[in-house]
Amino acid sequence: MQVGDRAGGVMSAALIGLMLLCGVVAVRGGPLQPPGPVLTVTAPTWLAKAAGNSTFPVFLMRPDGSTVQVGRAVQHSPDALDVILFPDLTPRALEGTSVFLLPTDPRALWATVPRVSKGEIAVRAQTLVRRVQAQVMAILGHPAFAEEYKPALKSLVGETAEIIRTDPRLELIDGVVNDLLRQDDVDALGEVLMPVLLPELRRAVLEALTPHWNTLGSLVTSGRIDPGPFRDAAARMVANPTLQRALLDLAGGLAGNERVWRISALTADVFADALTRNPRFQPLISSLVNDPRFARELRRIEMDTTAFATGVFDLVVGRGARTETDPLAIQMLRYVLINRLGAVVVLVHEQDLYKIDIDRYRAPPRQGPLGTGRIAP
Amino acid sequence: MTPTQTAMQTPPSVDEENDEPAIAIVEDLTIEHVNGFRLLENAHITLHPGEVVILTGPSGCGKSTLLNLLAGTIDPAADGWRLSGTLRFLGHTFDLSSETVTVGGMIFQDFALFNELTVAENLAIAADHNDPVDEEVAKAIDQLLRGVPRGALIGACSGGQKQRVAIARTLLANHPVLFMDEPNSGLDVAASARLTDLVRLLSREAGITVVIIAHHLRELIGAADRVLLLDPRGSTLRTLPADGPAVEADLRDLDDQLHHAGAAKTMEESLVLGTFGSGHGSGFGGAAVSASSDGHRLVRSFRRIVRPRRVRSRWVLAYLRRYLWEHCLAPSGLLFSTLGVVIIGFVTTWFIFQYLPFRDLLLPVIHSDTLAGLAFTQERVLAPLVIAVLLITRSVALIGADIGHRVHGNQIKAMRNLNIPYNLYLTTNVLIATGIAATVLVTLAVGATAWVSMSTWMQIFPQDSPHLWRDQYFQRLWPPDTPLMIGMDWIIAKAVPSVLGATMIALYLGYRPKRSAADINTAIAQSLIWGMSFVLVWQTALILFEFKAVSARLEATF
Repeated sequence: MQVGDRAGGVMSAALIGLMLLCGVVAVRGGPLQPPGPVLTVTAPTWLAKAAGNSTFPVFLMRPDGSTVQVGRAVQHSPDALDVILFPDLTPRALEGTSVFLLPTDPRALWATVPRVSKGEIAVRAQTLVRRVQAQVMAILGHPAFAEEYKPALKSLVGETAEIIRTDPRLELIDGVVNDLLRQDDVDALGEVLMPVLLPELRRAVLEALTPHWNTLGSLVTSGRIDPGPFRDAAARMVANPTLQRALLDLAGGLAGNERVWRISALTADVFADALTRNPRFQPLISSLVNDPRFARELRRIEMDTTAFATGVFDLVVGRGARTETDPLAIQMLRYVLINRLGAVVVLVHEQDLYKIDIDRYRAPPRQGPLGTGRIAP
Repeated sequence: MTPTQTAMQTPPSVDEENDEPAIAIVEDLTIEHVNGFRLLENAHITLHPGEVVILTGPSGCGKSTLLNLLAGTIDPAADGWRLSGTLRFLGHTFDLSSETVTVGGMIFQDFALFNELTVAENLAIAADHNDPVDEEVAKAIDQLLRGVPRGALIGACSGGQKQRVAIARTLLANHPVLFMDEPNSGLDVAASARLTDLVRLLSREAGITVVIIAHHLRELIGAADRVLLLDPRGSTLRTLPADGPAVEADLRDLDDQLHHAGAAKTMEESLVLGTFGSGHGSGFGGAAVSASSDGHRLVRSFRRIVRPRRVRSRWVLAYLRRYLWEHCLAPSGLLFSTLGVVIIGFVTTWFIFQYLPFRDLLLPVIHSDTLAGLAFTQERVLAPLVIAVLLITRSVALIGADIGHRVHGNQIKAMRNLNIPYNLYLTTNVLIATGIAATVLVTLAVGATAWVSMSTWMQIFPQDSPHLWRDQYFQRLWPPDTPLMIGMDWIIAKAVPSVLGATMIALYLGYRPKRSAADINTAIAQSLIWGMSFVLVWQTALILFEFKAVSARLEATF
């Protein structure tokens, strides 16, 4: 029976071989592709909560703080995680790196933000506060506000305060805040704050109490002390870099603390509940924000906060010289947004460790069947 | 040589003049169609060894149908025929109202040789499925095939050579009777003379009984012992002496009478049903036709009395190899699939990544999920769908042409007559081949589509590692340490049954009766439309179930 011819057979074999080879290259990277380096680390207990997934992406942090995915971690057993790296990764790129295993929660996301970016966020926050404060002060100082809104708002807030005083959730909030303020971070802040605060305070008191020819009159006649030295002292303290860093550390620690987020949300919830239950609240606020006399100030507040939010987002998810969206930050943010616990593995060179605060997530190396936790060339 | 007497007469039989024991005796044979057309009524036919009988009659009066019914090449029930009478044959008596028996080997007017086989293979397939022939018959076959190239394909043979191969092949089926349907049609005088010599050789030297349908009697009459005239006026068979001019005169008279009586309708014109004459019924067993609203006219199924079925692995594998080549391994089919793969892999990847709205803003955020979604779309949805559509486009056309041609060219009837299990060699093998083709081509396409997608992605993102693509593309479809891609069962469940369903449709339409080449083309077109529709409906239905089944899992792994 005639079935094809030799040329057709050869062509068919070639086509089948080609398609097979394409498939192997696509799936395995090539028939002769050696497997990538593998290292095993100890899996923390929280990893068991990362439901639905037993594999996690592995990122390598570059010197500029940006990351690139370089492999995938696979959990073969409850207490071990195999970090399988891409075969095309050069040993030099991995030299001197340590392994960190991070949950995809807000605290870990904040930990991956480079310190430089955190500093920039603090500066922008200060600027925003100043600007918003200025606009708010402009509104509060407006005669229209004093006449039409201030009494009503004062009464409203007073009523609300009375209401929430009896809210049982307040006790819980008090307890947690006290607990939080007993943390080591706060103690550390105190250790930094006191050496700066006390000399400045002392200096301000002395200056305020030292008579000056142009303030002497008011001291004698009305008994008022000049507030200028205190204002200057406060400005100097705010500008003090040591204090700034300590405050940032505390803010960072608190921002990364899940309880802080929860308690903040609860506090806001309690206050907002009480406020919005008041039937006068909604019409009053609506009237205020739509009042054409405050339109300029409100518009500026809106622009400033929008710019700040955009800037903070860029700094949280952006890395490198061009602040490009970073795959590690996006991976974590994605899980944060969908409120699902996942994990990421990050390899960081020892010399770059000072740039981020992820030391608490270090994954202990483990002698496994495939390798060790420390990558060597 | 003793002239044997063949009595085929309504009534009485003139068989009593012949002393030799008859090979086959048909008594009280009545053949009528469900629409009321009566072909024969109470006919008696007796055939003796070594005699040559010419069966003649006006065109379209049912001569071929009579021989086909006796040769068992058509399913009476499927074609709407009702028979009554008995057959005494090979020591058994059969009830023709419920049983069909192959009384003789049939040599069709167009020879019905198997074009895909060589001369030697056409002979071998007949020999392999029947008992060995006697030495005399073997000698006759050798003589018959003198000068015929055994290794040549049938298409390379002349008309005369084809006729001799067809006769030899039928002889190898070892039937005691040979039916020849207009063997001298279209032959010149010399060729007709050679045919007459051949018939003499078969009957006189090999002792084979030959029944020949002929309109042109002059050359063949010399070899005939008797002439039977099928007279449609009374649905009778009349025996005439083997006198050419006298028979021709009788035929002319009969034709004139029919013409003047205004009854010159052929049998086919008389039949309302279009299944008469060329079909053999369904390729899946020949279900009875219930053609009339009148209950008592319904046709009963016939029990087919056949020789012991012989399945030869050599032929199973030969046909399987042929159909595997045609449907799966032929370079044209593979190229067809490759082009489909390139289109799926390139178009989807390129357009998703290049024409994404707010690309610069969104791409870093959704890149990983886009690749994972692309993998699902390409591997689980598009590859099985496109490959099944391409495979079926090609295969149903091939099946329609192949089976349609075999039906139109009487090859299916020939296979029945030669005791060749065509349902296994053709139908089953075609189904197996297309099933394998679906599995192999879809599997190849899944891998190759991924490669095309990867290559396209690397053009768009030249700075990134292909390992990054691999990790993100297969993150949900083929996680590390998973031996097989997740959802291969879905892919196979979509591709293979859809292709097999479309193949069955093509086989069904291919096996339906074919009166002309136009019928073959119609069958191909219908196979394409219905086959493709089946593939689309099947895969769409399964995709809906698949989405429902996998969505929960995908959610969990997001």
